[in-house]
Amino acid sequence: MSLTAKSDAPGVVVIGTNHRQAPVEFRERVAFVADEMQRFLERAHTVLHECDCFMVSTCNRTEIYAFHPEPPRAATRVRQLLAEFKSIDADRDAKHFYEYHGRNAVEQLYRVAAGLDSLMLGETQILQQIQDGFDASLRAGSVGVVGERLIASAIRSGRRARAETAISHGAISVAFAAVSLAHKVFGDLAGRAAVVLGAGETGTLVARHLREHGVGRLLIVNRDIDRARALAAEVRGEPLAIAELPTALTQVDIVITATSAPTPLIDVAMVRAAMKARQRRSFLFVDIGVPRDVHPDVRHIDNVFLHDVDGLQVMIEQTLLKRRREVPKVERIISEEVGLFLDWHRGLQAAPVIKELRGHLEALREQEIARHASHLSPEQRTAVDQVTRALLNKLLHRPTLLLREATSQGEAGLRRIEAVRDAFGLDDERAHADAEADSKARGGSS
Amino acid sequence: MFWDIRLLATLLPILYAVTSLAYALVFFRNDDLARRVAPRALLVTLALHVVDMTLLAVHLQRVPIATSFESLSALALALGIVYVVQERRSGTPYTGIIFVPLVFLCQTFASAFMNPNVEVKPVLQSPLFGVHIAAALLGYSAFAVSAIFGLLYVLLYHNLKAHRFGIVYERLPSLEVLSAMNLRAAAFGLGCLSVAIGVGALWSLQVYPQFWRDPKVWLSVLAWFIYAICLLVRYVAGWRGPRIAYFTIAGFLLVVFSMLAANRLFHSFHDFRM
Repeated sequence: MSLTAKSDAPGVVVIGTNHRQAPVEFRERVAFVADEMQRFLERAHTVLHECDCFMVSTCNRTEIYAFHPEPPRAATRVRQLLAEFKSIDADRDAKHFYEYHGRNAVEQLYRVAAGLDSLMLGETQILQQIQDGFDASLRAGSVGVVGERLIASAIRSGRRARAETAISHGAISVAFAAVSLAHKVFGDLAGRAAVVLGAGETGTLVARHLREHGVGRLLIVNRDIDRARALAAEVRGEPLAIAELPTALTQVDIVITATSAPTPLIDVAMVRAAMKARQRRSFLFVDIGVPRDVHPDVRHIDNVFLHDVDGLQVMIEQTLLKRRREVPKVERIISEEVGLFLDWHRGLQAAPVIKELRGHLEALREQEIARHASHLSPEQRTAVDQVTRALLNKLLHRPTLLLREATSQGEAGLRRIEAVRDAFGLDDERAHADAEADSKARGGSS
Repeated sequence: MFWDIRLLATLLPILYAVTSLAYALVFFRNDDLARRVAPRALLVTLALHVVDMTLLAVHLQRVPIATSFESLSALALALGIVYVVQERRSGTPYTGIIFVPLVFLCQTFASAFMNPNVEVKPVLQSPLFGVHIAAALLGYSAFAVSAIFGLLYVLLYHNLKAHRFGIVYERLPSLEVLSAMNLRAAAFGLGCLSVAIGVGALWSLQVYPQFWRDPKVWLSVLAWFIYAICLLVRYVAGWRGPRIAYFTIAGFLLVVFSMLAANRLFHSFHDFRM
């Protein structure tokens, strides 16, 4: 799959693979860890003749972004380099990669940052993973002013998407759904006690989640007490043997079970006894075990809330449905932010900067003459006009030459153009002009 | 001034209707603009309501809570104020969907049927009367608030029991918060009603020595006992969950319907019209 650049876009290419393009075995093969990422980027920077490049690598995606005047050639080199680093065949495995150029490549990074391209729509970890990729590219020295700006802008766009829309709202994992239920019953979890029954993979995940959400006391119950001790040490909990479960039930408000026991470990009589001892305060059971760990009739006891894995699945599906409805809003944010980035990128070309700089200083000159016009005779005004115009041309002569040369000086030249824009506040001026134009457009349309 | 009062009396139900609509948008659509506008619109409407009551007091030369519809308007204002306070405390505007339409209904009836020229008995000059009425209105408003939180508690409770994760689950605060608001409002209402009954008895000893024969007095005492028992079974007998919520809902309905019935069926000295 390959999409070519639109005319207004910079020379940028992305080569990538994700959960839609390749099976997990392939994604595992091309995933990079931090050190390896740095070595790859150092090498890519050399191979691509010092052009900006950076990478995003997670368990579900690996993407390499490169700024290059000839994106298709850069893409070929990146594929060859990937084949050198990972056990893949550049030609045979080509079907597992997608390739976007220009504006499409830029948009891809923004979509990834917003969580639109994630396996779990709207997930939030990706922003940190993009930051990790950026850090690796900084260590490798493979990213310059354009790459830095693109990554910062994509991360900002991802944060905006999460703040301004509900793309990341709600629970999309069983562990998160269990904690969300606890919040809905008890509100703040700080003064609450919870027991996690089962110290396997899911139990561990849930115990960590409960601890992160500030639960007060955390008891870990497991058949194998050593595993309970190990998990309790990790999550600052208290280990308990399975025989102590009935006592534990009288001391907690939340019970989360995740064992593979063939029959229920918690029955109605046990819960009734616990409710009596707990003065019938609300009691939440989240049973993630299959087969179930809590007898289903427990749900009929007053003030007891029992949710099993099917119930949690309903919650997760509803959350995903709501997140999907937010996608158009996120796409509008992306389109806006990509537009801003491309505007900025166009501003890095020398010719428009020279034009803007001249326009900016000319406007200042005219303002000053107008301010003193009342004290000048027509002849004096003509003379002042001629003198200041000549002075401005002389002052601008060298900066104009330097800006023209900057275009052919690569990264150093871009930094020089950026410095001129900063020094004369051209970006502020442009933002001001855009705001005025927007305001006029709105006034005209209303 | 009379026309100012009429104008405000017409305007208030419209403003409460618009505010109710804004709170409906907050609840059903979680609309950003509505979330900003609704609390402000309610504050402005309540401020106008205070102006209306003040103008009416100046026009009538007395506190405008002597007739049923004057009291209904005062009840709407008290309910609105109690809601604003709890919205600030809980930080969630989603329960406004229940409270504000209730305020709108009370004020609509009050505006439609209130007669600003009605004459009342001259015994209402005593400051004790003002304290008695203010405490009673605050108390009954608090019982209404308690019943509404009880209703919301029951709704969320059954949604959680039935694994329904729709708009009720999403928008309402936690069961714990609903339960605390339900109980706090009931306790506050009981305190106010105690003051209303005590002060009312003191005042009536001077004006109506046979006050204990009035059915409304007995109904107020009945309401006091209902809520006292409710708090007793909660804190002494350890009742929890929906039972207490149902108790406060039933208590409030009983108080409202018995007061309405008493107005229709019995003679009461609580009618101060000439």
